[in-house]
Amino acid sequence: MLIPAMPHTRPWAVVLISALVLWRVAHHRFNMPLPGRALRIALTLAAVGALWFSYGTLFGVVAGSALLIVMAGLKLIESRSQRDYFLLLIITLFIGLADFLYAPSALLAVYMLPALWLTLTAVVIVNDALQRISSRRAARISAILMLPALPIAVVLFFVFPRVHVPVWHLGGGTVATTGISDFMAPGSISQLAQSNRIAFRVHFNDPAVAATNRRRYWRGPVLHHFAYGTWRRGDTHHQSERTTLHGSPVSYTVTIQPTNHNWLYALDTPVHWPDKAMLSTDGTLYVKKPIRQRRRYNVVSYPQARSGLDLSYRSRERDLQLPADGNQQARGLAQHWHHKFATPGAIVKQALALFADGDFYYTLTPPVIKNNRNSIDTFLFKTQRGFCEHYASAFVFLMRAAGIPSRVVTGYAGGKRNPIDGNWTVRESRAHAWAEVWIAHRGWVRVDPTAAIPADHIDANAVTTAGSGARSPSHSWFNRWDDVWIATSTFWHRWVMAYGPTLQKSVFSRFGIDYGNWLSVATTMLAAIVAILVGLGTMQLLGWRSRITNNDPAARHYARFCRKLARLGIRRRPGEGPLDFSTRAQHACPNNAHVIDTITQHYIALRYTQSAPPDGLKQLAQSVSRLRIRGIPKTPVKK
Amino acid sequence: MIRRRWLKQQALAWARRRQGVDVNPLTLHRRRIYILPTRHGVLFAFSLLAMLLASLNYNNNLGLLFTFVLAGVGITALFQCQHNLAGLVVHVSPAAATFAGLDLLYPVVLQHPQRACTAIDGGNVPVTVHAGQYETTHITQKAIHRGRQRMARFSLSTTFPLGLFRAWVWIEVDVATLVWPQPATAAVTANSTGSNGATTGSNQRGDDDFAGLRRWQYGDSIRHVDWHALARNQGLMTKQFTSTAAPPQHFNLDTLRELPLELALSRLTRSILDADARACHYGLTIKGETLGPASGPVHRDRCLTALALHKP
Repeated sequence: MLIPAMPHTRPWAVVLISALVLWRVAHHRFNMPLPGRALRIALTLAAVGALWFSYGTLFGVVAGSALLIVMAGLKLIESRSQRDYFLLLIITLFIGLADFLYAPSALLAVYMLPALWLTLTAVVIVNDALQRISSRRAARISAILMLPALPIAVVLFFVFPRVHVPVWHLGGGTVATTGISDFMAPGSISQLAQSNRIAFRVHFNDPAVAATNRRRYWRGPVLHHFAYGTWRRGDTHHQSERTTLHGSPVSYTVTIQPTNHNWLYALDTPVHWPDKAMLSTDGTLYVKKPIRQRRRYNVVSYPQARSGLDLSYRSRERDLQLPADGNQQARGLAQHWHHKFATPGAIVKQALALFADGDFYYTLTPPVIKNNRNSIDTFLFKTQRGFCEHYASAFVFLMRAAGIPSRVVTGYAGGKRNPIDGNWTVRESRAHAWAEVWIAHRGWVRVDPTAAIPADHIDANAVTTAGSGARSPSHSWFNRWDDVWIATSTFWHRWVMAYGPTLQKSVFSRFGIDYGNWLSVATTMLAAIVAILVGLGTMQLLGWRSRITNNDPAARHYARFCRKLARLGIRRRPGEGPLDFSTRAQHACPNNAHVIDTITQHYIALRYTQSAPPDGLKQLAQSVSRLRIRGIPKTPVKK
Repeated sequence: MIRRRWLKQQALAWARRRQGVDVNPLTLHRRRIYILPTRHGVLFAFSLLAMLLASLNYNNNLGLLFTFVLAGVGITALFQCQHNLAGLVVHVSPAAATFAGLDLLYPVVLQHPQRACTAIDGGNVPVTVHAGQYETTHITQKAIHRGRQRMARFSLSTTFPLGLFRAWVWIEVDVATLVWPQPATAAVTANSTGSNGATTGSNQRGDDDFAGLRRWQYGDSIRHVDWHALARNQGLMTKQFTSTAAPPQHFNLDTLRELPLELALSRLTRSILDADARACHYGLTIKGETLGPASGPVHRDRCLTALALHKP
């Protein structure tokens, strides 16, 4: 149980533990003497001092588990009596718990089962005072102990009341920052294109919606400020903009991986969102604390809604911002369009036509653009090769230069449907950047410039984000396995990792138990435990019996034969020989006398003589199996 | 203290009423096995509680699951502990007779027809009974008074699978053993007052009047063998003594009437033991019955038994 804790323990502690374990093993094997009292005390003080030094505290999950590990090691070299070993067991169990607290994962749970089995086996061996019990038998006993414990644990897990307990954070772990960030520079999204990690999963409540294969845009942070080739969020201000709802809503649940950012992904125009989140002016959901654990949240969106119908002056200015100089060619082109075309829609179309008809290519590995001041110009007129961030960036620049408020939206596009459970998986490789332009009476309209690029200009390595996410057929079995794994993982997360008060409430209500009334909850739990105990007791009564395993196969078959007869009332008396028993049995049921006699003769020949036919064992087995007793005269009932 | 003893007696009486009289051999039925957590078990329970609180605090479902699995293991251990004793067949034999104040060792044979029972405590050592085999252990009880002593209640217990619970049975079988009176200290011998027309014992120690050798016969005491003769290659020869080597001693309880009965019996016991150690003939008269002058272990046992069972 110590092993999962190793990665996050300081190296000196690992070395100390290994040394202590080896000492103990040496004591067992080579009779090396264990350290005396003075040395033990010195070691303990030194270890505690070192812990204090390394961690600064003795509390909290990380430091606490290190303390436990050191204590376990010291206890190991000191254990002599059963009481010592028992304390060692308790410490080990706490270490196991600390492992779970630090990094809960399905893999750890799976690992813990054999680890627990091993620990229990050790305890069983210690508890045989003479310690002569064989390891195999101890292992079997501890398996018998664990097997009924698992269903008990599952029932308790579902029934035990969950409450929102105030969390005392005694120090937590760190989570790496992943996924898209809140700024965009050339290359920042393309570097995610190779990553196969899962960004989030979506479960659509309406299966019809889930089945349609439209390309969905998942909104992340919106970037407003452009400087030196990089887009950033810029100032945030909170002014709500008018939204009108059109079309039908889509309700879905997203399970997001830990990202260390504080925004949530959602489809456009969320209308209902979780309590802890808030909707920013530019349509993204934000939460207060960065997401450090996998989380689930429900959102209802109206994909056809129109937002931003009344664009405030500040917003307008913000979304027309351009740096003071640079990119003169692009500006010139945009000005030209501004004068040439009457409506913003026409300008948009013109820009898209530029990408479609020009010699533009979509690739993951464009030539590096060195000059930050004229990066747009370089892209538009020189290299003409880029990834979604280049196109989005250039497009928004052009629009702003032409006087149309526009902004860059980053997020994810597309996703893959998992045929096993119907959920959609969105991986990091689907990270995308697109644009939004503001058109009067229509509000913010999404424009994806990469959609304009003709298919034959799309590089093979950039297919996943440009295309609609077709599955590569060559790895069908791999995809299938992948889907199974994702489905299992989602199920696991929903029902085990994220099982909380709300889910429990819904489970209880399905069974008709009122969750709010604590008396009924307590009654339910008690009833569940009593039911389990009754079940175990019944199992005991019906016979948790293990028959003496007999190594002689002939004897085993004969025992089977005796059991068959015993079921009908003809019991072999203790110490009664096979011949006597055979006589008695033949007397009791004369119809099968011949078979009984044959079986007995076979058995005697096999067991007691050397002159058994070579396939005698098989014959014996077959005749016993085929034995069917009919017509037993009923024994007279004794008054 | 008194409370506790009274409680214990009440519990015993209740158990006796409930279980009835035990036969010998006794099969341990599930109904008579009692089970309670041990100190370790209580500590385990507290640890589980701490783990539960920690998991709830950090809202960690896997930690909760882990705690619940351990709770399940604890519950299963309860059943397994009881199951370890159930069905055990106990056969108690009477102990060998011994003196009051010493320990009686009752041999107890344990067996189980179907499976193994591990780490059964109660006897002098923990015992593991393998499937289909016998194991013998000894129950030690103190011999208190002389006479027939019935075996007191004893218990067999086990904490086997995890040491969290202790399952035990109380067994009270109708097995009685003879207890001889406690011999008085050697300093006070019965010889000084108990000989009936016999010379005092000082003759017996030290100088015997040597009267010759004869060939060794079966039954001669080995203490009287002349080893020097054997060393001279003359074969096994027995030394013979004159008749001043004591006439057979005779002990009578009536002569010790002025002493308290138990003390008298103790002294007689000591005398008999001394006489037996010297391998000379002795007889005993008690309550009109005379156990004639003889020597040897059988005679000694008969005398001691008579002393033990003497009722005034």
